[in-house]
Amino acid sequence: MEALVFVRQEGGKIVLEAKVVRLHQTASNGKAASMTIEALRNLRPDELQPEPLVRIRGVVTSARDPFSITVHDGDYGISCWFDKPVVTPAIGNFVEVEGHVRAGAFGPNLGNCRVSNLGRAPLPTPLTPTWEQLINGSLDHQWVEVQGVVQHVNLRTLAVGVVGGRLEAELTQGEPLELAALQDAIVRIRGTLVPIYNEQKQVEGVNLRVNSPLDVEMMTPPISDPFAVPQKTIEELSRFDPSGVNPFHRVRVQGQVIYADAAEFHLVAGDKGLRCFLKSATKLTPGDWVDVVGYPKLGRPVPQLDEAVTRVIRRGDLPEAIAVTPEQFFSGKFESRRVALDAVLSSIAQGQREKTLELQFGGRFLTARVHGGTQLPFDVPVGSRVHLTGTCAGRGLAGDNSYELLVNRVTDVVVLALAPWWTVKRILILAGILAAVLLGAFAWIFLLHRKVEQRTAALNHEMRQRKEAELQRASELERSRIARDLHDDLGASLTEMSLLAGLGQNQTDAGAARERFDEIGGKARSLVNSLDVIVWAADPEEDDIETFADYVSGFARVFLESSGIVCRFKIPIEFPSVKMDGRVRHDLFLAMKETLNNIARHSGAAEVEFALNLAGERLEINITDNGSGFDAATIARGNGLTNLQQRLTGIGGMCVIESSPGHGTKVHITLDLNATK
Amino acid sequence: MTSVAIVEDSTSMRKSLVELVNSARGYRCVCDCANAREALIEVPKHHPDVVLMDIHMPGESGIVCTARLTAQMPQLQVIILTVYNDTRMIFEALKAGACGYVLKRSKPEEILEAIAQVRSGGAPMTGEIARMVVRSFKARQPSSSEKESLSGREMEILVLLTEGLSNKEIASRLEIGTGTVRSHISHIFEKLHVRCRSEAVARYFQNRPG
Repeated sequence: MEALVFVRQEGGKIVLEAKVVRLHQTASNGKAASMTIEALRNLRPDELQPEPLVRIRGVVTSARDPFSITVHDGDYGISCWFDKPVVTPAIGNFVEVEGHVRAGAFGPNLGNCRVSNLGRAPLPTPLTPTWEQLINGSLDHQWVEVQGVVQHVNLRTLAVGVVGGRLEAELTQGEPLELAALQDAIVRIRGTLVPIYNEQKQVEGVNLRVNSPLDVEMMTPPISDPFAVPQKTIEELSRFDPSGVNPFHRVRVQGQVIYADAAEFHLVAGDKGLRCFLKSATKLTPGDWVDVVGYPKLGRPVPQLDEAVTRVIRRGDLPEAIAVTPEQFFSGKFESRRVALDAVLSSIAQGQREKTLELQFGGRFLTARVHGGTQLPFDVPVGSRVHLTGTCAGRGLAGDNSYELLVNRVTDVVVLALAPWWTVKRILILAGILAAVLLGAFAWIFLLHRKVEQRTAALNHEMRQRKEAELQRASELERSRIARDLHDDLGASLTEMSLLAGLGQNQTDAGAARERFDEIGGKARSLVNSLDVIVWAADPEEDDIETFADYVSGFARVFLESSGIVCRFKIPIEFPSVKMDGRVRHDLFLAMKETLNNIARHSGAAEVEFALNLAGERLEINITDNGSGFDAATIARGNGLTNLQQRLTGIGGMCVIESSPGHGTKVHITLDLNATK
Repeated sequence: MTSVAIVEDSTSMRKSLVELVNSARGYRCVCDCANAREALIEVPKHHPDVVLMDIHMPGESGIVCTARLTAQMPQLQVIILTVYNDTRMIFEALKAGACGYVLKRSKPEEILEAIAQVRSGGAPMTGEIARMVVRSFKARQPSSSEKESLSGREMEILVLLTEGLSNKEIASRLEIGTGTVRSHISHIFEKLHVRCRSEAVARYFQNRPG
């Protein structure tokens, strides 16, 4: 036998306390290596392939079901699994276990075990780990003892609040009824620690397998009246308190609830705030004055009460909210205080329990949780300016400068100004539309402009062509007129002259020949006269009425003089500048020549009065002779008179002849110069 | 004996004219020139009494030539020869210093008569020329010296001329001698020359092509 003992002095005697007793008995299977659990725990993964068969010895600390037990060799514990259900050895049995070492889901264990009882042994001395040691995973299947307050009792399990956290103690054997009395008691529990791990093999919590109600030792019984504990102010919570040595001492605080939901509430007393986490769901109305009892917890700017139970003292109105700036809000100085602030809404999220408003508050983001806001309509466009009243609450761990606003109800959110319609997106859309419209308008104007230009150019071209055609036509007309005049006036005379010359050549008589030469000379002179008129009429420099008057009077004088007729003129010396074109001048001249010719030939007059006057644009010519005259009714109109009429009609003029036998003749010619243009 | 110079670019016309002048009693052609340049050299050499001057000639026109010759020889009498009865051109020539004109188509005796008329104291002023003279004097500045503006009697005579009255008729109308009328007309021409000569020359130089 082998025994592990502790040496202790007791009343002057030295006492050996046996902790582990080993019976030296060879195993039935000599192949299995004898190992300590510590060595087994330290096997490397490569040493576990294939799974080595080992032999351990220890005391059974847990036997939860017919498939597994926990064996502890004084230093460490390990779970041992059976392939078939077995009658598990009793707690406290000293056993030898043969099995294969497996890596296990979390820690190593022994599989396919065979167990043989070697006797009885005392249970190992339990470890008393801290919360951090409890959850760091190293104490897998270790035999521990923890101290805590029973928060809940649920048939076979106890929820135990320990310093730093909370664990579940599961009663694996024994009568659970005894546990009910432990509610709110401070207890000391021994058991096998089993970590609760997730798929990533991270420890999320710990279970304590308790073998018997005897392993739960009540240290402080539950108090019948939870409010029968010393009352403190919130301020006093953070101060020196000798009773704080006991981590499970409770305090009572009085204050007014400013925010409450199912899990927590905040209360204020004076200018101090307190955050409380409820032991169980309690209906609290903001504004209520309450007594709160709970376990104080410090670390954040405001103290905290855990496992809080409340008692309403009286109803009241909520205190006035403090208007805070962003700097004040995020400084933490107003944590758990009722504050009011103006912020800009940036988004709304519907959480499971409440609406979450994301806000822009002084350049930082702020989350506001609206309690019970789910059933209330809350439809405010993003970008609106809102006024919120609520409780400033810290988030996360101590030292985390993160704060949120807890709002009691949706009416504590007041819209100050709806979001301006000109959001960036809308402005961009509007600018886009405007740009498109402008572009369209410009394009349209451009097209229109081009069209107008093209049309103008086309019109100009057309007009120029028409003008050219007109000019062409006018010049053609003028040319054909001159050609006709040349032909009519000169052609006949020249023909006659050549005829006369021919006759003269055959003339033997000198006198007769001389007569022919005279005739030719006369014809030639009259021919030059005709040419003179044609040239004068065609000369564009001679196109005003003054020149016309000079020319016509000169012609009349010479013409009548050669017939021995005196000519008197009644012609203004100066005329206004009025143009007469070549055709009018020529035809008018010929009409007058015709008249003068008639006078010279037929009238027998001694004197002619030639009057020319311009009234406005109306030209009046009166040629009066003192000759024999004629009876217009009886004398058939000669060729000359008809020609006269025709010439004048051709240029838009008219002619009236007054005459009676013995009283001379008056030829009255009128012509509207304006109409001849 | 009247000495005559002929300035005419057409050779046949010039020869005919020379023949006509030389064949008439009391007239002698002293020189004949084909253009203005020649005339400006030859005419002053021969000191003729009368020059028959064509208007349209290559080079300088007859009008400019007239102006230059009369400026040089104030006693020279220039008769303008013209194909057409171009009143304006004739008036320009008169302003430039010519004292009469004759159409080329005129009968030979008419041409000789024109020379005789000029010699005997000045060409008759026709109605249409008179009208131009009146206009010309009216258009000028009235403030010019007496030497350059017409007298009342001169204006009176001019107006009667425009109405077609002959010198004789004017003389009887105004109860003056025919010679007086003629002398008035001479004065009118002189004043016209004085007023217009330099201006006419300048204008013809200006308008000359090239």
